[in-house]
Amino acid sequence: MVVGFAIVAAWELVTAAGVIGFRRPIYNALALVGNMLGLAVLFLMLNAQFLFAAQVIVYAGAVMVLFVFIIALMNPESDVTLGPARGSEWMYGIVFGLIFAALLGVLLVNQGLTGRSGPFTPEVINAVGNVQSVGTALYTTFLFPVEVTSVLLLIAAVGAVYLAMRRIR
Amino acid sequence: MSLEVVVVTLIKAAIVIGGLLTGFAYLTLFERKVQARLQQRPGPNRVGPWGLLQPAADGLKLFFKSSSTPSGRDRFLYLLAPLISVCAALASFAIIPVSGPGPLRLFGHSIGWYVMNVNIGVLWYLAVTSVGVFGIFLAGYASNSKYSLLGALRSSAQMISYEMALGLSLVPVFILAGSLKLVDIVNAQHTWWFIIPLFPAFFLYLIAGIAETNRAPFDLPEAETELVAGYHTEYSGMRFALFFMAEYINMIIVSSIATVVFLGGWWGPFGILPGPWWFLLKVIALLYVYVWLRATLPRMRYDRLMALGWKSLFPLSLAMMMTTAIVVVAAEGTL
Repeated sequence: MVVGFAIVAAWELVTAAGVIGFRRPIYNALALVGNMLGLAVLFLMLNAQFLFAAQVIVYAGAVMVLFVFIIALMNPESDVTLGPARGSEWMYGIVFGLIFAALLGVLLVNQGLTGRSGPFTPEVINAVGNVQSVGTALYTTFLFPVEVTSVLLLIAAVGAVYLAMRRIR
Repeated sequence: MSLEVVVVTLIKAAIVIGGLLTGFAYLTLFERKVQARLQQRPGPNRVGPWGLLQPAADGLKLFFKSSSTPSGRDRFLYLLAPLISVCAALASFAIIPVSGPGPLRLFGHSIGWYVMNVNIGVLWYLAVTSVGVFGIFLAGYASNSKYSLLGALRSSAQMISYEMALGLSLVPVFILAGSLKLVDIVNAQHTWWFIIPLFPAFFLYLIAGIAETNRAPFDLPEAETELVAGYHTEYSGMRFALFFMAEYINMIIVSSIATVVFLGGWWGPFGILPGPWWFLLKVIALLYVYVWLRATLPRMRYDRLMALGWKSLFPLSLAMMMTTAIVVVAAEGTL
């Protein structure tokens, strides 16, 4: 288990570096896909099989395919590369990097990464079924946030349709 | 996880991969033979009796062909794309239970007729195929050819659109069976196959499955008259064979899932044949439908195809899902 986690964690670091390191946009996007797949494997190792499937279907499968689509359509000539980083970009990078490092440091010092174990132990989840336990939680305890989110998504869909219709007219 | 479990799983995976590759080889022969008969001609009949060694001859030919590559390609992605396609196709078969809990014993353990019996069941298939889209898209992008890029765009847009209808048409089955595990779904069909109460869902699944695998009459990504061969225009030799392999294995998988989910899996009437044979017979029957459609129907126009997916299949599968849910709740008397 620890060995597996070490391998996946190393993969996550390498792909995360790839997301910001590659000079060709399509490789940046693909590194992000690799990163999301690694995250899905981490969910799997934590017994969260449904989260694994949702992560792969929604993020790696749907969102990132759109990203790759757009990159390929914006510059079909595959030799387009990003230019060298300018001075202001370095400055932003350093500022936000320091903020993020400070956040991580606070978590580590306060031992905030070790959560309390709740009622959903692997045995309980396996007895009910992974999808069933997530579904029950979503549609009983967290019903209101789920419904609010669905309204939000509906607004986004209506907005997208409006924008597309306006261009046709 | 003990060592034995790992070894048993690896052995089962090797058997499944071997079986799928053989199935792919003979599916090409099956398709050519059936299509030939439907068109009043004999089909391949020179290599071996009834042309039975034709797949071996084809394989050898493709293996020894020189692979020509386009000059402006993206080297890494050009090699990666066929691998993604084939791996995604092979991996999705892992969840399919070929037979019931029969006397299958290895190392003193009773083991199931599947590579893994995961909690999320069919979601595994949907997850793996959604990654498989990258294989097709990257092939078109990395080839540095307009035919390839257009074919890849069409193909991935088609797969993403029809995956919605495909996934939703399976939801009524989950509602009736009360589980996502394929083994539980087959066991729930011991008396009634789900095709009987859920025929509309089966029909929707079949159409979406044909579009999902880019087969005729929905094979627009490789419409020869406009796009040469679509996303694999610039691939030749063994690399082309890998895409071909992925397409045919995907056909086998869509048929297998239809068998398991709607046609009662390994259960057959009268108990005259053992489970795996029933499974095989049903899969072959569905594959025959694939070939039959290809030999019968003309190709659709692309905008019609997208309209069919989004404006007909998607709402219909949603309606089917709602109806099933209401009927099940009403039958339980909690409405």
